Amino acid sequence: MVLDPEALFSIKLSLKVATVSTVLILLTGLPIAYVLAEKEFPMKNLLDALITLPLVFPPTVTGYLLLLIFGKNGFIGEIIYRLFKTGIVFTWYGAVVASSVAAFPIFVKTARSSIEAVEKNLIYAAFTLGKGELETFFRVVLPIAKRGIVAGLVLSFARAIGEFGATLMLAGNIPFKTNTIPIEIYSAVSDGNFERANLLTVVIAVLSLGIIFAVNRLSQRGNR
Amino acid sequence: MIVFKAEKELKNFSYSVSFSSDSQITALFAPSGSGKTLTLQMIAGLQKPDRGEIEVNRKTFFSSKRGINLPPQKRNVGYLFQDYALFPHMTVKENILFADRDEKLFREIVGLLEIENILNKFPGQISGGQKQRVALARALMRRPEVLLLDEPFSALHREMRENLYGELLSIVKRFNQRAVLVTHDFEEVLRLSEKVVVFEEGRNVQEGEPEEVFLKPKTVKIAKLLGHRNFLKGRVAETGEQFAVVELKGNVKLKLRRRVPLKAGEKVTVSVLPMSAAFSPAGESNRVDVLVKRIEKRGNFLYLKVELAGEEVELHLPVSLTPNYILEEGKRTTLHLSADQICAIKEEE
Repeated sequence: MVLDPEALFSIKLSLKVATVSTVLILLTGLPIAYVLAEKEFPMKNLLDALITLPLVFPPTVTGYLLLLIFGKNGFIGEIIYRLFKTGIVFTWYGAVVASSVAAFPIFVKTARSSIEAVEKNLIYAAFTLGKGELETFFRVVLPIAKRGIVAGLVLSFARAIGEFGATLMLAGNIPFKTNTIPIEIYSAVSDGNFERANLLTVVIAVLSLGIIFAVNRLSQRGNR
Repeated sequence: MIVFKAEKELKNFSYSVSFSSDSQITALFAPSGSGKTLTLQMIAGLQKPDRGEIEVNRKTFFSSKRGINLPPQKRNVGYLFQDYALFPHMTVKENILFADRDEKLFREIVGLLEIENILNKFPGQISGGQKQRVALARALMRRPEVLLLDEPFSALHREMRENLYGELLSIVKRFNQRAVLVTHDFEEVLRLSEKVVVFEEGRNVQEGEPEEVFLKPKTVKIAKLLGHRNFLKGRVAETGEQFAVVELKGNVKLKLRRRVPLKAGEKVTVSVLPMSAAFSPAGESNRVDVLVKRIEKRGNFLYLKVELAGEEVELHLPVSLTPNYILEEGKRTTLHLSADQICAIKEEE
């Protein structure tokens, strides 16, 4: 049995969505993880709590809130609509937003703790040797915290590829448009097409095992 | 010249220290947890005082009055961290060149510290003493205004320390480098510095030349910090130009060098340094009759616990000077105590 075009599309879409989400998470999450790890500022706990919310909310609730924010009348959705004359709801961008938000806390938490684990004196040493904060980050903090940060990325990629609830709310279930693997499996089961569901499950299982393997290898190397 | 004055309120700790020093190596001495490292961090700009002024070589690093607070990058201090803080992902060479890529200076420093043969190793592959040299080399690369040395020898063996004392001194002289040394070992203070500031619970309690501070502690508490152990209460019986006589319990009279103003009749605490004891040639002053309670051999010294004027006193005698037959636990013996090694400490108010 070969995968039908719709299932193939869903695999490609899932990989694309997860990859784009992971890049977005890296770009926005790394500075936030650094700030949370190294800086003291008012309302730090509030920021931390806000970032953690998607981890504890039911995904459908996260999705619903995102729908309110990114919908045509939502405060970000309206801006996007004015700028680009298009919305993100029920498009693959919606899937990216949903997976990014869901996976964001996983990355920030992992990256933050690996940055916190960098000895303070190493950062101080770089400062006294005349290096600014940015250079210290790239030449000292990042190389030392690298493994934790990469592990965080891998885990958030995994979370992004498995995202279901929030994606369904924000991007919907549109064949050849927003049908990521988990959504495709859901559809297959609802249609009673267990053979398709099984095949896609194998695909997800292989991806997941690969990810677990990668994370384990990274953490083992870190311990050496 | 270093001028330091800073106050800071921390959780459970109030810090208020002020000192100035024109010495090449200034030592900050105290047990741990008294704010020595905090002082270095304030000089380096890693901690900000609530109030104060910090000036090094006429450059203002910090002034709450004038609103000056130079960032650490602009202070140009060489900080030798207690744990060395070498970058684990860089080789020794990369660590040293991290701050400055001056090849000529690099070769000179590396040669002086004799670390040419480990340049391509990582910090995880070298010994503690080597790490310390690398950290020192790295700190010297920017020709800093001041070297800040945070307990640089505490993690090393005694023998290795001995070698490094001399090395550090020669490097400091070679580069005409000003340095602040933090330590809890008074031996180190005596060996390395020309000026010491004694800290106690976030305050500077005494300062001066190390030998002078050692022999003229202001209070019994400071004397204890410095390693004095035998304290006897007494009253000044006579005072002369250079010496004074203090009368202790049981009519024991001790002559001591007069280093602080003393008046006859005044109550004082006398600190008998363990090294003051010797066997007593006849006719010598300061002959005391003591009861030997315990004898313990440690290296080249005998550690004696004796009873003097009703108190237990610890004295150290070189093994070479102590024929066994004179000393026996439970027997009395006559010892001579050197007046130079006995200090009078005025009673605390």
